Amino acid sequence: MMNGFRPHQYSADLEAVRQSLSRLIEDIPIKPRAVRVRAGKVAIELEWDPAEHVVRTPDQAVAVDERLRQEPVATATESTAESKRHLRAPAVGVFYRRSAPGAKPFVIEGDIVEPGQQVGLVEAMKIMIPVETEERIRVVEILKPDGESVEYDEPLMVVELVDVAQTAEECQEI
Amino acid sequence: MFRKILIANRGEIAVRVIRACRELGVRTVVVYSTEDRDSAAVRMADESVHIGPAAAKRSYLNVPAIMEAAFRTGADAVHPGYGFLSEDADFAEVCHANGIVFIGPPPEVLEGLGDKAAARALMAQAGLLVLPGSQEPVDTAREAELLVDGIGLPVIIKAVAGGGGRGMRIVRERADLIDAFRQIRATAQMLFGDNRVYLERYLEHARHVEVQVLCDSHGNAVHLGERDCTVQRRHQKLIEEAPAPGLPASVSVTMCQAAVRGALAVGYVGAGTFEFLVDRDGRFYFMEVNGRIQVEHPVTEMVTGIDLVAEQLHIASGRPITVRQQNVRPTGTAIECRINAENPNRDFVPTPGRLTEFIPAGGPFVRVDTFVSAGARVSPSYDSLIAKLIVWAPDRERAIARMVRALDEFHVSGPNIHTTINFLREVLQCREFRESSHDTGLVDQLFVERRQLTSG
Repeated sequence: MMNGFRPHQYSADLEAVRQSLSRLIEDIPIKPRAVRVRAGKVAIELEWDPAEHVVRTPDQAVAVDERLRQEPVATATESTAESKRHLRAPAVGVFYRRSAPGAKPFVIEGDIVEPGQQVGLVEAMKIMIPVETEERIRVVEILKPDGESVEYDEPLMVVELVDVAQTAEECQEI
Repeated sequence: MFRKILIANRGEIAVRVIRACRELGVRTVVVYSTEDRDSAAVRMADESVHIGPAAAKRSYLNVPAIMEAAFRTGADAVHPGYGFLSEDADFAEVCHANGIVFIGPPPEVLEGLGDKAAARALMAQAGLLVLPGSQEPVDTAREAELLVDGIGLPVIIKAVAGGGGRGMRIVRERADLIDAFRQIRATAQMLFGDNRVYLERYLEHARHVEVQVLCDSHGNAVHLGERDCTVQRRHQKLIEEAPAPGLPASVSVTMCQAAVRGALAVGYVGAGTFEFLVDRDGRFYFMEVNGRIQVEHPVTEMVTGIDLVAEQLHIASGRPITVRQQNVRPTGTAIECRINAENPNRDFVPTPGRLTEFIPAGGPFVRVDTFVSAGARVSPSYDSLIAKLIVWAPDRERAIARMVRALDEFHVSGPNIHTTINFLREVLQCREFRESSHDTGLVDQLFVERRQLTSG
């Protein structure tokens, strides 16, 4: 899953990421459900089915956790339910992920978003109402496709809070 | 007839409109605020759209949100109920511009009648008697003083954009005039965003009588008789009845004809109410037109057998009115009591909260229009009306007895909850009301008597 990834701009990064990624995947005993890659400041995200957490043996779980701790390239997102939350529609209207047709999306899954930054917009009667975050977050999953009609307060994205100190550390490691 | 109607309102009136639609085979969409997500209207409607948070400004007054809800559900008409956007000319215009029928008068009619000073002038032109007062909004204290020199005291200062009993004040002493004038301008600015006010002579000992009219888009107009809404607190109605007790038939007839004449003069379309003040000599003066369905419409329905909301839908869908004036024959007496979650002993302050008990009245000729049940929460964000209790009987005496009986059956309680039930019973049983010798001062008078009783 290489959403919004542009190799012509980041070909050097891409190659580095691709190698790290294949190494990482090889080393993991349980293959993830989803892998998200971001080229900008380089982020790799792996996701497993919640069901697999339940069915796998304790040994495997330990193995996965240890692998991940040893692996400096990846950022695992086995987020707990508590840290995840929804960004909700500020109004009833049509949800857009980009500022204009053909423009790049405000955010893609995996992006880290700063407080006050726009992540989407809802159009109601030609009035554009920005969807913003008040906290530093990571976009985990976008629930509504571009151009979908939404009600007030309807969940648009699953996000998780990102600790400032934690990400600074990650960036250094990368 | 419409296929699908969006109801841009809440509470009992949203439920009332859904019921009419159901009977006509029209699908319904209600819009709701977060506060109303578990409401009766949301449960009863075919579809619902969450349009905003509790604050009315961001939900029930939020035009873009309501229009979006209409688009996404494919509604072909909007019923605005009463209050909120029901008399908002701009909203009516936005509906038309987007190909959605606004169930109410045309925007230009709402615009004309929404300016209370202009409405007075329009009706005076149509030959209706208006109380002596300003022709135009009064902009300076000096102008107000000159006017009072001409028309005498007492006067009532009213906001041009006012409504729902808000933005008005009575002045009895000349010394109070300037203060009252400034204060009501400031209040009007705050409430309506329009500080213009007008003055008219205030009638003491008057009765508030209004005429229900129906006008279609083919130039037909009928009246459905009058309602008496004299029992008010702070200019807000508590008890309404039809017909007006003690009003001579000749006065009733000329008043109803005047209302029809006024409606035709302004090109009115839809259901509307012409409000008058009637003095002790039976002279009636035009006050204002309410361009919407009113809270008290059931009393007219009960005496005429005409479903006013269904008529609104027929008219809005372009059909001619089917009812002929000669077939409108009000029968018996209907009375409505407004059961509000408020404390009559503390100047009718609203008492929102959870209802642990809600047992409505029943039995023959009793109608309860409500949207709450035990366990429901009365929201502090909206008005305090929780139920309308309406009874019918062949005559007024029996209607009062039936209403007292029904109030006895009605039980509402909850932590912090007070209601108007006991106070309403007190009014119905007082001598002035029974003899129909009361006037708009009745509620204040009852409180004065109470204080005298407790201090004596």
